[in-house]
Amino acid sequence: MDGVSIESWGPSALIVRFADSPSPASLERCRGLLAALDTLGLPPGTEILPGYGEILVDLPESLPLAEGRRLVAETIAQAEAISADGAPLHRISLVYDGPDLAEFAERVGLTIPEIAEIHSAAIYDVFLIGFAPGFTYLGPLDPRLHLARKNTPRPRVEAGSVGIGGSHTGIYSIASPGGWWLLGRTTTTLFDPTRNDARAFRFSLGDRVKFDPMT
Amino acid sequence: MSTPSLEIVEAPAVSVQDAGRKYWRAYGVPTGGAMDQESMRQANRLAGNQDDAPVLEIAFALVTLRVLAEVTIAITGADASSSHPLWKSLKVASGDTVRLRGARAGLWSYLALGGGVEAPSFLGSASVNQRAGIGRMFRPGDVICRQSDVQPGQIAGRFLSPDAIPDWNHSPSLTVWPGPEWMAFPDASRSRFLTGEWEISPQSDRTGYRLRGSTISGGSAGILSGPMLTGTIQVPPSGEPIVLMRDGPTVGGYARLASVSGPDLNLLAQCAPGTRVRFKINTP
Repeated sequence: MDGVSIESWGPSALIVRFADSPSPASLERCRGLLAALDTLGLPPGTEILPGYGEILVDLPESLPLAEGRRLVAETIAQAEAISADGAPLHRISLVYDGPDLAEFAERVGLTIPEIAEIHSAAIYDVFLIGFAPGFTYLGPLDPRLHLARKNTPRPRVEAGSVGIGGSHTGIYSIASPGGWWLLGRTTTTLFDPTRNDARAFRFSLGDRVKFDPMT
Repeated sequence: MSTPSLEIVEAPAVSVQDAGRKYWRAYGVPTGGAMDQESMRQANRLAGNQDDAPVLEIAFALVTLRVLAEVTIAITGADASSSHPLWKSLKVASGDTVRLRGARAGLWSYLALGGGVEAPSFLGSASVNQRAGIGRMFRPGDVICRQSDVQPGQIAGRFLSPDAIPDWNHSPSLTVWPGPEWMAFPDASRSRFLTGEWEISPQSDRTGYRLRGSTISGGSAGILSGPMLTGTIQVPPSGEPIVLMRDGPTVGGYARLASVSGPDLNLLAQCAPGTRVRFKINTP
């Protein structure tokens, strides 16, 4: 894959930078790099953590960083983007009755039904899971719905809240403080700590999500 | 065999912690684990356990426990006002009370139970992260069981050399590594970060320690949400740095100025609000 850089961070981590902005193409690059790194057979203890434009490769200190860097660089050279075709599609029922809907509508200059229509028309990609367990960043978001995060975050946003922050939409997986504009709420559980394996998480990176408006 | 060993009488902020949860950060699950991993390991060694066995993490060194069976314990970490000696393997008997009455210095105490604290494991770790819904803090009346019975007498009396006991009173100088956005900050800001004295803000918890004393300006206003290392020093628009601690977010949108080295993150964890710290930069 071209256009990928590797930098070291501290004594045992690498930052693999593959995009300057999120897009369907950057997600395909990310998936391709993750698949390649996954098959590389880095030593136990290695943790691989994607962000929007970077992947962190956190290596065990037993592996010299220069050696890790060489292995990762070779793998990246061979990696190819993986298309979103065939990724699982999740349909999520959503009631558009969020506490910020009226103010959000005023600020973006749309009516509430228009917001629900635009927001629920898209099929989103899961660009990132992070910040909190199972917290899901979805995109791309229709530019008519872009709005910078609220100045004052709420001390508590309930799990299942669906919001918009900047150019992202996403779903709160656990109750937490949050500064996104809350448009609605789903009863779908994103993070279930009673399941002691990957089934604790509803989505994986690269999955697709469609909201079905409910009244 | 699991033996009921300790009962919680009073526990304002006590949880089970271990070496943390590995391999799930890509799903947003922070590593978690004992805030001061080194004191946790010492407690386990003194109690005759594996280094990373689950222990009790006791915030502000405040807890009262009733002993339900003869067990070996070891208490390390904060310089606590304690009913029992610290940094020593102790045999306690049924009916005894173990009480920590607060910290003279340091912030987190660790109590290891010989044979290990029995605790449910989630994704490979017993570490509690209550805000994420992973386990819960202890409440009065909770009973703590020993994971396995150990040979008594082998380790009672073991102690850590006084020279090796950390002094939490002095202001540490913490080693940091340059973060991905280090060079995006102007010289003056980087120099202020390294020459200044920083105070731990009371607005600090297991997710992050806020630093006060100065502000760091001029870095990129934000980054595309990027991956974080435990110990990352983020600079939000206010310019007051935040160190991401064990339960901190796995990704974030603020510039990553630096990251605290692994060993020194344990030292930082023990810095109570009001403690002053300095930073020195390491380069690969």
